[in-house]
Amino acid sequence: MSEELSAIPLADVLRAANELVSAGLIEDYALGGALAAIYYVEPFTTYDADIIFITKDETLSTGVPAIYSHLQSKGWRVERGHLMVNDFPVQFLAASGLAEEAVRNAKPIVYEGVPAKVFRPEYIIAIAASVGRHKDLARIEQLLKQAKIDKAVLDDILQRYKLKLPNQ
Amino acid sequence: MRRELAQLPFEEKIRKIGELIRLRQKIKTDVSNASEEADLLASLDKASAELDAGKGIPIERIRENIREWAKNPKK
Repeated sequence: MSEELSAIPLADVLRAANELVSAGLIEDYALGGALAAIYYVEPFTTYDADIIFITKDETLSTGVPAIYSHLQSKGWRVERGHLMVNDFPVQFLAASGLAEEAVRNAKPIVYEGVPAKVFRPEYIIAIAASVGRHKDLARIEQLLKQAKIDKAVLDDILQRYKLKLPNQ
Repeated sequence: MRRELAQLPFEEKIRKIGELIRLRQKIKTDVSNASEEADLLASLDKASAELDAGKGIPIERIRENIREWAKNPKK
């Protein structure tokens, strides 16, 4: 990898996601996963990016191949199920339920001049609570300590999706 | 300190993580002795795991430690 290239080419990833929206291949998207958490808390290591998208139609099978095909035509490679941009793996994950709501309510940001959206911390916490792995619980603790959380919003999400935080 | 890091601009946070990733790649490339490389990478993996576990070791400290290991791997 060239020294000039960013080790995490996030602007390229977000630009590509915006193109997918413009091309009508997806309805909307937001940055999720570890990189979304990093927006609100201290930086920690992560080796991929998760783009959570809302499909344009109900049939997922038509959406994902079209996304892969479009990005491969732009020079992205596919390796072990991941789309790769500048050797950095990116996962495009179709949203439903809580994740779809998280995309629809995501926070607009501008990253290196590229407009994008990132999951709000209340949704990151709720999604982490629904998954419940060790690292998800650590992420919840980190967000509760370091991010500004709207407790009413969080409680509402947790209640509607019948989720509980650890030690609740 | 952790709260201060949390307040950094997003671009700056991504740059710091990128530096760590690049440093890891550099260690893999530069260290010729296989056992030294394994020791260095094990140390880096341990540090990364602690970060992933939310223990929140400042990334600056990890970077500093890695620099020292890279300079003097026998230490």
